[in-house]
Amino acid sequence: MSGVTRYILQRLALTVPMVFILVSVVFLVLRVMPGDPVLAMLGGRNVSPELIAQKRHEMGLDKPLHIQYVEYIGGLIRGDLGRSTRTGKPVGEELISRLPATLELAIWGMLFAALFGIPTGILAAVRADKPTDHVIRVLHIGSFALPIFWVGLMFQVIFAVKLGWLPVASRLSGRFAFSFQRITGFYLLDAMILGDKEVLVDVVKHLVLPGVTLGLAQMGFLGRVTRAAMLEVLDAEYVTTARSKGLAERLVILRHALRNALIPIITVFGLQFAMLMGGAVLTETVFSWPGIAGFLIQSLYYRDWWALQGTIAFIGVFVTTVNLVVDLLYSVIDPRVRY
Amino acid sequence: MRKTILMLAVLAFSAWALAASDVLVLGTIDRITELSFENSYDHFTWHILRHTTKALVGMEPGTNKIIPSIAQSWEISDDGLVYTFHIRPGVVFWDGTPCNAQAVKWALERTIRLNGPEGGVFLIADVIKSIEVVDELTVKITLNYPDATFLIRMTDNVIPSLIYAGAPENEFAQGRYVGTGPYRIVEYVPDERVVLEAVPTYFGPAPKTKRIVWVIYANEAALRAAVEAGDVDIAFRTFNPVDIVDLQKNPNLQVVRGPSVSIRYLLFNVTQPPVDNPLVRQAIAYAVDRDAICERVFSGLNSPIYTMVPEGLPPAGSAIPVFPKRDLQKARELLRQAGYSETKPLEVNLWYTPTHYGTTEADVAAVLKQSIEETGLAKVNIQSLEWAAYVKRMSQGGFDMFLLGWYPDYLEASNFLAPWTTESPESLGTFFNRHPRYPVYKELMTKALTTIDEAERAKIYQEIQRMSAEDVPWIPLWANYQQAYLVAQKNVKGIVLDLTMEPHLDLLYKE
Amino acid sequence: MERGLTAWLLRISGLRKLRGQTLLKIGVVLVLSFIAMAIICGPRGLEQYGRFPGIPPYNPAKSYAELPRLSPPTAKNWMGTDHLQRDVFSRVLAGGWAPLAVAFASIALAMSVGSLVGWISGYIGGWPDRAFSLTMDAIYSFPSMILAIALVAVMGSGLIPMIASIAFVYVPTYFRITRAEVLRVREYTFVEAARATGASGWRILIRHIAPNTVNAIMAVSSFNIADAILTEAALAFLGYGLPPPAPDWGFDIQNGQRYLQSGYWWLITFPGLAILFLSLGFGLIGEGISDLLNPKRRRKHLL
Repeated sequence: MSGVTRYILQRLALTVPMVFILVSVVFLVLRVMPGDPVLAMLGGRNVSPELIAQKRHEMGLDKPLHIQYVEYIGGLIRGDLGRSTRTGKPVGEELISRLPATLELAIWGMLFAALFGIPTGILAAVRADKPTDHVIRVLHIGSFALPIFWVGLMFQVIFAVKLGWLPVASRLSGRFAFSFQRITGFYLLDAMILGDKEVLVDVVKHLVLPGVTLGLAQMGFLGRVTRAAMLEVLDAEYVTTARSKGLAERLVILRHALRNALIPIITVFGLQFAMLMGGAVLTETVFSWPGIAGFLIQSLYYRDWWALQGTIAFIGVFVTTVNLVVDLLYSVIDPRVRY
Repeated sequence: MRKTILMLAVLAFSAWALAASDVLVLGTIDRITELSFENSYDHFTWHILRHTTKALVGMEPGTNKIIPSIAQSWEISDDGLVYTFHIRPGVVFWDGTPCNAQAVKWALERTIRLNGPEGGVFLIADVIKSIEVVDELTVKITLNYPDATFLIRMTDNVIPSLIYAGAPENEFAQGRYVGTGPYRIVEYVPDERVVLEAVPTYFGPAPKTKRIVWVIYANEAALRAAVEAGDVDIAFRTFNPVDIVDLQKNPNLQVVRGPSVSIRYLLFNVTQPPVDNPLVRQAIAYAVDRDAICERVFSGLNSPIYTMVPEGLPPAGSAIPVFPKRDLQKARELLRQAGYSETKPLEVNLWYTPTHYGTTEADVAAVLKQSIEETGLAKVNIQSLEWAAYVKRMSQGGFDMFLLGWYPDYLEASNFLAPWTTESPESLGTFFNRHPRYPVYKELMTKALTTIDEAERAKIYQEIQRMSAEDVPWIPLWANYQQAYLVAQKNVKGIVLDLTMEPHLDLLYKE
Repeated sequence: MERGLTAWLLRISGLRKLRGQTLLKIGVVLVLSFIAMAIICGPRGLEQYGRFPGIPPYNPAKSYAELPRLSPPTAKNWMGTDHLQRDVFSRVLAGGWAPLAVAFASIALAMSVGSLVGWISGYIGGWPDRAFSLTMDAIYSFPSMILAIALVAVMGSGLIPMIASIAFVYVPTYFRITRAEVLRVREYTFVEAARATGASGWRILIRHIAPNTVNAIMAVSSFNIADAILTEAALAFLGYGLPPPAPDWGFDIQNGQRYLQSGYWWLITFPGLAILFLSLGFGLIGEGISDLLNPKRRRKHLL
């Protein structure tokens, strides 16, 4: 067995119990907490005890805890996340239909973070310990001291309400909303497939503010990592050699230093995904973005147990998988890493 | 393959040849839960359902008088137990099947049999004893007990009374049915849109607009933006109060306010100290500052109320404002009488839920706290629980003083009095059934519900309201008008808002 | 514990003049002024409002009939008034109490629990260690903001649920640091020596391993507090904060959101800036401490 294969198997062997633990914790916590999904649903009207008992039975809540647990885990393994009590649809279906929205937002956030984080990081490293470096450093720290929901709201006040340049919230203007056909669920892609320029512009406009909001906090993080990685590489032997060969400084930085610094940067990029999902909850809330995170918040409000369990399990699996993939990519990209 | 089909659908849609005025786009932030007559219980779902099919009787738009619908006439037996409905000849479902006595019996019996836990089937199931087919167009409904509200319960305002066909025998309908109404659903994308199309076979006056599109927005801000940008012809439910104030100043829009039957109030668990003392409850009734709530929290859009029964609700003349206006001096006197002083103030909890009545609820609690504490003889502790836990604790009697809201199940005054006093005082947290005057309320309510004469019935309701001002099991606070505001472009006509608190889609049109 | 802590205090006390200390100083000034404000205006000040005449200028929890509703900043109300006719400036001054209390308490709790479990787990080794590590990794890999929101929604709103849920999220961080340190130190010869002289396992654990982990923990905790302040603000923004009418920045921003489209910008701008500066203060302190602890790493500033 080659080193990489063994590593993949090891990582997989760890990922499965990790997700299992996560799901079990969520399951238990939900059953311990005050508040009853049945009563939340029936809403304090003329609720008769029989009705409550009947609903409880339908939801399987009258069974002993361990049986509920076994059934739930069994369902998970079969890929059945249960049915949302709020929307009445299978949780898996709900999540799949919302995933593109979250991913689209996340990709834009990442893009923005990279676009501003990597260049400023390089600049800071090149001008290390000079005023430029200090300013950028404070900006980077400041960027993750930003309350993300507040940034979103401030953007709305400035760019939507005061200046009127961009829409306040949602993914698409109402005048397109009722004729727009989802094909992939990625609206940008859908708009391109449909070939309607007006819709495309509208979709882009709606993406700008939430994308930048989500990207801002990641920008600082990425900038710091870039700076650190660049500093390390700039000190390395081959860069010194390149310099001594008389190559232009700009060329040295771009061709030799950056290329090598990119490896840790890309890794961090992937590992940031968990952080990004956290930011997405607030961004989606502020911008009424119909994604997974917004679904989670709604499910919390409605005590929608199955939706909650399913969403958390889904996010857990998703984030762990992304981490795993990034780790493996890293081992492929970087020849120094051996397992 | 699927993509190709979708693409074709898109092309078809864009090439679709209706003139613009044949389409009306409406925006809302409400959501559809489940398109089932027997398993849904919320405003927007019911709104859609009742525009797609009709009930035996209807309500006249604007006046809410009971009018013929599928039944063109009816007789009531002298003992009030047997209702005979004569079905209008020629009524058909969308698929052309005739709507006859057999169809009526099947639909009602199916709804009652399936009785979904999330539905409001009890509204008709408790009272109906049997449904018989007399002949092709005559159906006879026998009741368990005489009920003055029965015809109101049989209107299309109460969804379990709707007559439909083609739904699965033993499963919830979930959109699978054919109706008799002016519209049918041609597209429904959850959380995005519902598209309705006029049905040519509808027995009533033809709808003014062929196609209705409800676009579902994520929140109040998006809804406001949509109507301002002209993306929608009508925006309805729900605006932030301050947004309505702004929109009223917009010269391109019309802002219409309908009546409201949605009320908010304080409740007491009359068995819990310190509010088991009627003096304390009366003092609080004098201390609460309704105007401050309406002005500060709701930008002046909501109106104070002084009784639980909303204005204009049948039977006519039921509502009488019985609760006192704010009088701090009087509140102080009562508190002193109850034995409280500056050094030994009344300590009382005020419970609210942040997750059911919108984000304004915390502000309401804050204003109430300050208004009661302004007596100088009370200290109010604000406590909150999210909705599910709130409901649970409420039904266990765990609150002394708490905020709740009501939107009627059927449009009759008893629905605003009976639930807390006689129907379900425990599950609604008042525990009023242990109050010494409970038997009197119970007797009056029973009498009212068997009194067919409206004026007579209204008098009994008035008596109950007067008693409630003495016993103070509740304190009516304000009527919600936030959800009674409709904002439309100037060229939209036919807007009729009434106690149903929704636009009548078949009357709307664009000039 | 003294050894590490004393060394740490000595090092940050400014005896060594380093350029990076500018950041630290700014951070300390920011944080101290917020702490002072919270002590003067915090909840205890709320009940005995007027203890310090003029600070804050109005009772932050009270509606004043004489104040205008939704007035923009004026000479009298520096940050305007809100919809309940309260003074926004007074609310911003007093609003730091909850984030500070929650951040300090939750990180302290996470630190104690995480470190303790980490020490024990790392020292014992074997299958309990593997089980602990796996559980902690599961929690750690999950987005912390989502976890905190879910937990607080489960426990209900208010101070204690916020502290508990944020603490829970950070336990793995301290677990990992401590455990790694324990594993490293275990191999040290002085531990071997101590063991050879017959010292009990627990004695070794406390005497030798504990002090060595303190430095690493101190560096991380500042960043975590900065992060916890943002988390508290987010929880309050979602409505899980202090009961009204107590001032709480995140909650005030939620209220301001309703008035956003009407352009009442001051309702959200000022509480948001307060969150930003407080969090930034801790971030700068964290940066300063890392510099001081690892002068060699200063140029690289890895997280």
